[in-house]
Amino acid sequence: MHPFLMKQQMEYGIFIIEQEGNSDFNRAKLMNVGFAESQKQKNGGWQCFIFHDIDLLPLDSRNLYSCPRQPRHMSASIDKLNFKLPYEDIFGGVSAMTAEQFTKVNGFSNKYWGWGGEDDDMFYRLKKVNYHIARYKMSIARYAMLDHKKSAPNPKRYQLLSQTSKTFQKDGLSTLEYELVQDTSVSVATSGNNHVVLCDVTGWAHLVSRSWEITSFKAYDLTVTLGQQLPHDPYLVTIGEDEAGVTPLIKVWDWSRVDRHGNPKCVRTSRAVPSHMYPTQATALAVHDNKNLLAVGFQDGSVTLYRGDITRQRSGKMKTLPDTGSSPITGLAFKGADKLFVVSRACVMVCWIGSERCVVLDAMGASPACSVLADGHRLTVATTNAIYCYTTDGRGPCYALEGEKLRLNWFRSYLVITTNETSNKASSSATTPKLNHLTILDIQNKFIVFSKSFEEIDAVLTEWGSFYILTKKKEMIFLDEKDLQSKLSMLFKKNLYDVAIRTASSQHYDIEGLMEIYKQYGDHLYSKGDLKGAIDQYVKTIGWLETSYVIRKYLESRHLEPLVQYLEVLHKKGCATEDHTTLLLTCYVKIDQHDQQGKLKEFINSKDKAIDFDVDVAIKVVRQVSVDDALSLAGNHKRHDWYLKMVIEDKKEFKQALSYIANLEYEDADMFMKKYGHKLIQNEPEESTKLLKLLCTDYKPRDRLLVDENSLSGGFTEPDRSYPDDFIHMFLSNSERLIDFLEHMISVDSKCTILVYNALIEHYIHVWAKSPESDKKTYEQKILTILKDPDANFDRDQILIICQMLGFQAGILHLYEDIKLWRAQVALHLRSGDAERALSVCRKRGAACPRLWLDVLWAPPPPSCLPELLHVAATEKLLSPIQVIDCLASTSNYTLGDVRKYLMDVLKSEDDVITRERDLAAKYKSEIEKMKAQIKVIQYEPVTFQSSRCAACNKLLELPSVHFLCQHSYHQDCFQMYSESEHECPSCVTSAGRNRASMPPPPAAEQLHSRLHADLDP
Amino acid sequence: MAYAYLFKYIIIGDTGVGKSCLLLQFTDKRFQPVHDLTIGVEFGARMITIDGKQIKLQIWDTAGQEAFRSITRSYYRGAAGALLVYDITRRETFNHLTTWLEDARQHSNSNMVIMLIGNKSDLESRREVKKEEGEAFAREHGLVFMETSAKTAANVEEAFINTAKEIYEKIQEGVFDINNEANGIKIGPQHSTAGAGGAGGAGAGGAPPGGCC
Repeated sequence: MHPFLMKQQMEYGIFIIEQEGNSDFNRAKLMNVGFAESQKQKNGGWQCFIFHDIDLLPLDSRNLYSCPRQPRHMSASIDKLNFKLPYEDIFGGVSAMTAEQFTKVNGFSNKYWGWGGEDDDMFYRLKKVNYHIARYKMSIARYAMLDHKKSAPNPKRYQLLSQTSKTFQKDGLSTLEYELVQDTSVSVATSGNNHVVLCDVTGWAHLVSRSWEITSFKAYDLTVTLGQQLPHDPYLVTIGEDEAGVTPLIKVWDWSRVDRHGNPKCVRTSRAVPSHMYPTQATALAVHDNKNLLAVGFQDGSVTLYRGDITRQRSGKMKTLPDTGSSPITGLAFKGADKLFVVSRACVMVCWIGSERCVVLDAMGASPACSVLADGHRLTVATTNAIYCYTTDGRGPCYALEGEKLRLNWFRSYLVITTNETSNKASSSATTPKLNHLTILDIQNKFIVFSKSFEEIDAVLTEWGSFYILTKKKEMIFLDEKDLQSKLSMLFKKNLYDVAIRTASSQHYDIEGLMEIYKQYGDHLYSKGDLKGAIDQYVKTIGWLETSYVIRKYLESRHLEPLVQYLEVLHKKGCATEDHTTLLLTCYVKIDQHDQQGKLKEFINSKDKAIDFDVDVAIKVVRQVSVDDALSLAGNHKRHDWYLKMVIEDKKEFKQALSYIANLEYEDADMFMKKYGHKLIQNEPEESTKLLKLLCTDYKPRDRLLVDENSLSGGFTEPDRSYPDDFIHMFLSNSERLIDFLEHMISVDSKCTILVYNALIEHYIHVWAKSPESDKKTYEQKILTILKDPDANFDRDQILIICQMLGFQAGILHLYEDIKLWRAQVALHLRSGDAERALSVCRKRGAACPRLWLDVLWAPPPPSCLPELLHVAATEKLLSPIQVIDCLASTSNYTLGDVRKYLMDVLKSEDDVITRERDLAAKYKSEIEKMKAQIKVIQYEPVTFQSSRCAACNKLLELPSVHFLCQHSYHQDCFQMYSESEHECPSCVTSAGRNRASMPPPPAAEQLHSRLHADLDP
Repeated sequence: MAYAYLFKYIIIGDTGVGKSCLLLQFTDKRFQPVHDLTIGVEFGARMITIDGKQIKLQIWDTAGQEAFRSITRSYYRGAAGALLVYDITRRETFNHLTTWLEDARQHSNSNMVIMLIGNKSDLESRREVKKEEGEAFAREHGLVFMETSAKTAANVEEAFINTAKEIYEKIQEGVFDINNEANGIKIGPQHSTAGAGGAGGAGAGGAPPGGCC
């Protein structure tokens, strides 16, 4: 029934009323008794009654066990009756009535002894006062009927029924008379192995399963006094009395097996009191979980210990422990398998089982049920003013809790304490039921988690993962532990955050949840104005809670110190971002402004980096406030860039910057010089140049030892040096310094780059251009030396352009000379009107480049130079005379006199040429004549070959021989040997060849060709 | 861990003088600004070394409130040393010293070493009891005196260790009967003399020393 009713979520009680004796059964009267008894039990009384036959079980959970406005007949459809309603007016089996309805009809009649009639009687009563019978439909009101022996029907029932309508006011509740035969009380309540065991003073034991199925059996004939259910085995150990007198019997029940009566099997029965002792009451029982140890304490203070399998009859040994005193034993608890705590009214003892030795831990005892083994190792003992903990070594801490303790239980990590309510009213009226107070103490977190008064408590049971309170009134109250979340939220509501935190962490609450608690705690403290306390909590959330949440809170309220604390921790934990650093420093600054705490200084000077912050950000922030502080910060953390930047930009301490750079390692120095060189040179030209010089030669940090270890140990490192090129641009507006610098560079290392030389020369020229006449010479000299320096590596074209731009003639000329631009040189001379020098160039280079002469001629040159020019023109045949004339005619300032000599010379030479040509012509003519004659001879005259000697070997000619028209004859052998071809005379061929070879090459064409080349390719 | 001796201490004094904080500072080396009231008696332990010997201090931290006085009294017995604490910023805690001292002398064994401690020395600005007064009181009653701060941990170690030294000296002088556990002194397992009557005998060998809590 329990699952069925629980499913319907009813508040209910089941009252089973039994009739004593063997007389006829009176169901109706028992129902009345049940009504009366149950009304006593509940304050205010029950309102709805279901009168239930015990042989019926509902089959449909829609069949609600409640009371409608009209009495309801519940068991309309019973399986044994084929689920049919036997007759319309039936009201038997199961019926529901409200208290009002029941009292209005004066309950059931008390007169029906034996089976039948009483239900119909009730129907008549109801009808009489105008109630109707309500029913669920047949498909819902279904019941199963259990088999049982039928009792005899009541023969007088019809007669009684006929009088009902008249007599019901005089027969029923109003005339109910009964006697409560026995009100048993629970003597033992124990639990284990998923069952609760209740034993009563009448010797009955009731085994309650999780689904509230009860197995009852008579364990002892008289009474049960002690009992313990093993937690993991189906064994129940009880001590009780089977016969009058003091003869406690130990019985061990195995309720997994049944005996022939269907009851749990009793596997062992033995006398509790050893034979050598006077019979005495057993007052305490302890059974070890391993089923091998059992201890019984007695009224007279003795303790007997049984060793060996307790589940077997007569196995193992029995011993009486010594030195246990004489006051009644009130509690026994095994600690491990070797120790036993013994609590008597007078003292607390620990007994070593092995050596059978007892030691008094404390001369303070406890009442029965007021000691419990907590956590499996600590004995807690409740006394009137406190709860003491004991270990085997002695007394431990205590918890002060006033009140007369009735019982002590342990559940999970909670100590459940039952005390007598010490209210003032208790004594004033005896009628008010005694109240007990239940306090549940969370030992770990030292917190009272539950406190409530109940009616007198008989037992506290812990089973099925929760615990139950059994009251004297046989009510079982179920206490459920709230889940962690709701526990926490309750604690939050009470603002018991620290307890919440302890609870959560002791129950292994997940970290995020814990953080949430810290946050809430922080919020709470914050809202109460305890900003410092709040920050302590917020600090714990670092890494989980969004930092902005906290920061914003404190920023809004302008409470900097807690914020600073938070931020510092944030930094220490390495969770800080740039913004945090900024904020922290800003806070420092603000605080410092307020009261000179020097926090900022402290922070800056924290060299050990106690706070892990972003130095760059820090510098940035501090810089805005105090450059000096920022400087020392940068210095401390070797942030050279920042340092220099500040020194230069903010402080304009260029010398300081320079000396700082000078102390840096080469790479840094190099870098920073490149970066800041420009400014430094502008402001501190001397010093910076000096540094640069160093940097480009053999730089060493200034504070470094002159000879470092490396060089001492023989290692040679190529000294780092910078390229002067990189620095040149810095001297942009300071030519003198640059010159100084570059001169130095060149003097140190002549293999400088083009750029260096270019720059140097360029600046020389610049300086030259600007300097007064007097100084020009020296610079001119300098420039020329460099230009003339064969090592000097410079870009001539560029320098030329510069020279041209600034009109540095000497340079231009030198360069022209260098790159063989004689024509340009000449042109330059001509442009500057210095014909003489132009001419001198011509004289020097005219041989290589005849065009020079022409250039001068075209200039036009002053008349004084003309003769020479013309002479050259004439001798070298640079220009036809006509062209020369044309050229000279273009300018008007020449007189005929100037050219007369030239023309004369030209004409004369022409004349000579003509004469010579004529002579030659005549000569060739005569030769031709001669040849013609010869040809004629060969053509027309006979030729005699009469030479007697071979022209080749000069020996006498012999046949066979070869003759040629040229009067040469050869031996055929010789001819074949010498001749190259068959048609030519070898002698004549060679002479002709020689003639051809000795002929001079055609002069004119070749000369012209070469001159063209010279012209095109100067 | 094995120890040569175990000394039981008790810390007494008015409520709120910082008894629990002293203990926390000594055992855990931390300071908890917000502390719940001690209800009943709490417990702490720490190992120290004196004269090359490991000594375990078992310290009972009692509730200072009057309501718990009866409970705390039961802890006097079996203590070898007591730290009597007052708060230098609250004169009444100093005024109550006599009562505490009477209580301690009455319920403890006569050889108990009592150290007078003026706590909260970090709150110099709020001082109400001069150091000299504390010294005078200690001289008058034959106590050792020291001012401590549980917050800054100043003198906390010293207070506990000096007391232990004093006890140790008394043991050397033979003032304490070390075999009587009621004196609050227990000999460690490696010292256990054969046949020592009753306490700490061979049977105790199986039990972990100081396995308490």
